[in-house]
Amino acid sequence: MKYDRYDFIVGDSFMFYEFESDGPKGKVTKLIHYTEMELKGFYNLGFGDKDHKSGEIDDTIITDNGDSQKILATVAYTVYSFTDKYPNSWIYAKGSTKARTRLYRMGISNNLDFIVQDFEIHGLKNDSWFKFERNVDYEAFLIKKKIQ
Amino acid sequence: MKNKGLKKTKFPGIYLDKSLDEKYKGKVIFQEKLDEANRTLKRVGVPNPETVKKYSETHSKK
Repeated sequence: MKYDRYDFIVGDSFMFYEFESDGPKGKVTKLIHYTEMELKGFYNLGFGDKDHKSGEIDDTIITDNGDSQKILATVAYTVYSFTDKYPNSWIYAKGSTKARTRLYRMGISNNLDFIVQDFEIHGLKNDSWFKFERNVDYEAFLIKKKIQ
Repeated sequence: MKNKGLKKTKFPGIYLDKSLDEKYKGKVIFQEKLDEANRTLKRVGVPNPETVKKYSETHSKK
Protein backbone atom coordinates (compact mmCIF):
# COMPACT_ATOMS: atom_id res chain seq x y z
CA MET A 1 0.00 0.00 0.00
CA LYS A 2 1.18 3.52 -0.73
CA TYR A 3 0.11 5.06 2.56
CA ASP A 4 1.31 4.98 6.13
CA ARG A 5 -1.10 3.32 8.58
CA TYR A 6 -1.75 3.07 12.31
CA ASP A 7 -0.94 0.06 14.49
CA PHE A 8 -4.08 -1.53 15.89
CA ILE A 9 -5.43 -4.17 18.22
CA VAL A 10 -7.70 -7.04 17.24
CA GLY A 11 -9.95 -9.24 19.35
CA ASP A 12 -9.67 -13.03 19.49
CA SER A 13 -12.48 -13.43 17.00
CA PHE A 14 -10.76 -11.12 14.47
CA MET A 15 -14.07 -9.31 14.07
CA PHE A 16 -13.27 -6.25 16.21
CA TYR A 17 -10.38 -3.90 15.52
CA GLU A 18 -9.45 -0.73 17.38
CA PHE A 19 -6.87 1.98 16.69
CA GLU A 20 -6.20 5.60 17.55
CA SER A 21 -6.22 8.40 15.02
CA ASP A 22 -3.68 11.02 16.06
CA GLY A 23 -3.92 14.54 14.62
CA PRO A 24 -4.65 18.21 15.32
CA LYS A 25 -7.93 17.31 17.04
CA GLY A 26 -6.12 14.95 19.41
CA LYS A 27 -6.43 11.19 19.76
CA VAL A 28 -9.64 9.60 18.52
CA THR A 29 -10.37 5.91 19.01
CA LYS A 30 -11.72 4.17 15.91
CA LEU A 31 -13.55 0.88 15.93
CA ILE A 32 -14.02 -1.50 13.04
CA HIS A 33 -16.52 -4.32 13.32
CA TYR A 34 -17.03 -7.10 10.77
CA THR A 35 -20.58 -8.30 11.38
CA GLU A 36 -22.02 -11.52 9.99
CA MET A 37 -24.81 -10.85 7.54
CA GLU A 38 -27.92 -12.94 6.90
CA LEU A 39 -26.23 -14.48 3.88
CA LYS A 40 -23.73 -17.04 5.13
CA GLY A 41 -20.12 -16.07 4.53
CA PHE A 42 -20.91 -12.39 4.06
CA TYR A 43 -19.74 -9.74 6.55
CA ASN A 44 -20.59 -6.07 6.80
CA LEU A 45 -17.66 -3.76 7.46
CA GLY A 46 -18.73 -1.17 10.06
CA PHE A 47 -16.43 1.66 11.02
CA GLY A 48 -16.85 4.56 13.41
CA ASP A 49 -15.48 6.79 16.17
CA LYS A 50 -15.72 5.88 19.82
CA ASP A 51 -16.97 8.55 22.20
CA HIS A 52 -14.76 8.28 25.26
CA LYS A 53 -17.40 9.68 27.60
CA SER A 54 -20.39 7.59 26.54
CA GLY A 55 -18.53 4.64 24.99
CA GLU A 56 -20.94 4.87 22.06
CA ILE A 57 -19.73 4.32 18.49
CA ASP A 58 -20.73 6.88 15.88
CA ASP A 59 -20.22 6.18 12.18
CA THR A 60 -21.52 9.54 11.02
CA ILE A 61 -19.20 11.86 12.93
CA ILE A 62 -16.65 13.87 10.92
CA THR A 63 -13.45 14.01 12.95
CA ASP A 64 -11.40 16.00 10.45
CA ASN A 65 -8.14 14.95 12.07
CA GLY A 66 -6.14 15.45 8.89
CA ASP A 67 -5.32 11.76 8.48
CA SER A 68 -8.05 10.34 6.28
CA GLN A 69 -5.58 8.54 3.97
CA LYS A 70 -3.82 6.96 6.92
CA ILE A 71 -7.16 5.87 8.40
CA LEU A 72 -8.27 4.41 5.09
CA ALA A 73 -4.99 2.50 4.80
CA THR A 74 -5.52 1.16 8.33
CA VAL A 75 -9.06 0.01 7.53
CA ALA A 76 -7.74 -1.65 4.37
CA TYR A 77 -5.08 -3.44 6.40
CA THR A 78 -7.78 -4.90 8.68
CA VAL A 79 -9.25 -6.49 5.54
CA TYR A 80 -5.99 -8.41 5.11
CA SER A 81 -6.11 -9.54 8.73
CA PHE A 82 -9.80 -10.46 8.62
CA THR A 83 -9.58 -12.43 5.38
CA ASP A 84 -6.49 -14.23 6.64
CA LYS A 85 -8.71 -15.57 9.44
CA TYR A 86 -11.81 -16.00 7.23
CA PRO A 87 -10.38 -16.63 3.75
CA ASN A 88 -13.69 -17.54 2.09
CA SER A 89 -15.60 -14.53 3.37
CA TRP A 90 -17.13 -11.74 1.33
CA ILE A 91 -16.88 -8.24 2.82
CA TYR A 92 -19.64 -5.73 2.14
CA ALA A 93 -18.49 -2.11 2.52
CA LYS A 94 -20.41 1.11 2.15
CA GLY A 95 -19.74 4.51 3.68
CA SER A 96 -22.23 6.08 6.05
CA THR A 97 -22.54 8.95 3.56
CA LYS A 98 -22.03 9.29 -0.20
CA ALA A 99 -18.84 11.24 0.50
CA ARG A 100 -17.47 8.41 2.61
CA THR A 101 -18.35 5.80 0.00
CA ARG A 102 -16.50 8.00 -2.49
CA LEU A 103 -13.53 8.05 -0.12
CA TYR A 104 -13.58 4.24 -0.04
CA ARG A 105 -13.67 4.25 -3.83
CA MET A 106 -10.70 6.62 -4.02
CA GLY A 107 -8.79 4.49 -1.54
CA ILE A 108 -9.40 1.36 -3.61
CA SER A 109 -8.62 3.19 -6.87
CA ASN A 110 -5.33 4.61 -5.56
CA ASN A 111 -4.16 1.15 -4.53
CA LEU A 112 -5.97 -0.92 -7.13
CA ASP A 113 -2.87 -2.42 -8.76
CA PHE A 114 -1.74 -3.64 -5.35
CA ILE A 115 -5.16 -4.76 -4.08
CA VAL A 116 -6.13 -6.84 -7.15
CA GLN A 117 -3.12 -9.06 -6.59
CA ASP A 118 -4.91 -10.51 -3.57
CA PHE A 119 -8.59 -9.54 -3.83
CA GLU A 120 -11.57 -9.53 -6.15
CA ILE A 121 -13.38 -6.20 -5.85
CA HIS A 122 -16.92 -5.61 -7.03
CA GLY A 123 -18.81 -2.33 -7.13
CA LEU A 124 -22.58 -1.86 -6.92
CA LYS A 125 -24.18 0.54 -9.36
CA ASN A 126 -27.84 0.85 -10.31
CA ASP A 127 -28.65 -2.39 -8.48
CA SER A 128 -26.08 -4.43 -10.40
CA TRP A 129 -22.64 -5.68 -9.44
CA PHE A 130 -19.66 -4.86 -11.64
CA LYS A 131 -16.00 -5.70 -11.57
CA PHE A 132 -14.32 -2.70 -9.92
CA GLU A 133 -12.67 -0.17 -12.20
CA ARG A 134 -11.50 3.38 -11.66
CA ASN A 135 -13.74 6.40 -12.34
CA VAL A 136 -17.08 4.71 -11.74
CA ASP A 137 -19.22 6.07 -8.92
CA TYR A 138 -20.24 2.91 -7.04
CA GLU A 139 -22.78 2.75 -4.21
CA ALA A 140 -21.20 -0.13 -2.27
CA PHE A 141 -18.43 -2.70 -2.58
CA LEU A 142 -17.96 -6.44 -2.15
CA ILE A 143 -14.47 -7.73 -1.49
CA LYS A 144 -13.27 -11.32 -1.58
CA LYS A 145 -9.82 -12.76 -1.13
CA LYS A 146 -8.56 -14.56 -4.20
CA ILE A 147 -7.92 -18.24 -3.73
CA GLN A 148 -4.15 -18.55 -4.22
CA MET B 1 -2.25 2.89 20.97
CA LYS B 2 -0.98 1.03 24.02
CA ASN B 3 0.40 -2.25 22.77
CA LYS B 4 2.67 -3.10 25.67
CA GLY B 5 2.29 -6.69 26.81
CA LEU B 6 -0.05 -7.59 23.97
CA LYS B 7 0.64 -10.59 21.78
CA LYS B 8 1.76 -9.83 18.24
CA THR B 9 -0.08 -11.38 15.32
CA LYS B 10 1.56 -12.59 12.10
CA PHE B 11 0.89 -9.12 10.62
CA PRO B 12 3.26 -6.29 11.64
CA GLY B 13 1.60 -3.61 13.74
CA ILE B 14 -1.40 -5.75 14.73
CA TYR B 15 -1.69 -6.86 18.35
CA LEU B 16 -4.08 -9.35 19.89
CA ASP B 17 -6.20 -8.02 22.75
CA LYS B 18 -8.69 -10.53 24.15
CA SER B 19 -10.50 -7.82 26.07
CA LEU B 20 -11.77 -6.31 22.82
CA ASP B 21 -14.09 -9.25 22.16
CA GLU B 22 -15.25 -9.24 25.78
CA LYS B 23 -15.99 -5.52 25.56
CA TYR B 24 -18.21 -5.81 22.49
CA LYS B 25 -19.41 -9.43 22.79
CA GLY B 26 -22.97 -9.87 21.56
CA LYS B 27 -23.30 -6.28 20.39
CA VAL B 28 -24.14 -5.33 16.84
CA ILE B 29 -22.52 -1.94 16.72
CA PHE B 30 -23.62 -0.75 13.32
CA GLN B 31 -27.14 -2.21 13.25
CA GLU B 32 -28.58 0.27 10.74
CA LYS B 33 -25.78 -0.31 8.27
CA LEU B 34 -26.09 -4.06 8.73
CA ASP B 35 -29.84 -3.95 8.07
CA GLU B 36 -29.30 -1.86 4.97
CA ALA B 37 -26.57 -4.20 3.72
CA ASN B 38 -28.86 -7.22 4.23
CA ARG B 39 -31.68 -5.51 2.36
CA THR B 40 -29.36 -4.61 -0.51
CA LEU B 41 -28.05 -8.14 -0.97
CA LYS B 42 -31.59 -9.52 -0.79
CA ARG B 43 -32.65 -7.11 -3.52
CA VAL B 44 -29.71 -7.26 -5.91
CA GLY B 45 -28.16 -10.65 -5.13
CA VAL B 46 -24.44 -11.29 -5.20
CA PRO B 47 -21.98 -11.09 -8.10
CA ASN B 48 -20.92 -14.17 -9.96
CA PRO B 49 -17.15 -13.79 -10.29
CA GLU B 50 -17.23 -15.98 -13.41
CA THR B 51 -19.56 -13.74 -15.35
CA VAL B 52 -19.38 -10.27 -13.76
CA LYS B 53 -18.31 -7.53 -16.17
CA LYS B 54 -16.93 -4.03 -15.87
CA TYR B 55 -19.39 -1.16 -15.93
CA SER B 56 -17.55 0.33 -18.93
CA GLU B 57 -18.10 -2.90 -20.89
CA THR B 58 -21.86 -2.69 -20.50
CA HIS B 59 -22.29 1.11 -20.58
CA SER B 60 -20.01 2.36 -23.32
CA LYS B 61 -19.66 6.12 -23.75
CA LYS B 62 -21.25 7.58 -26.85
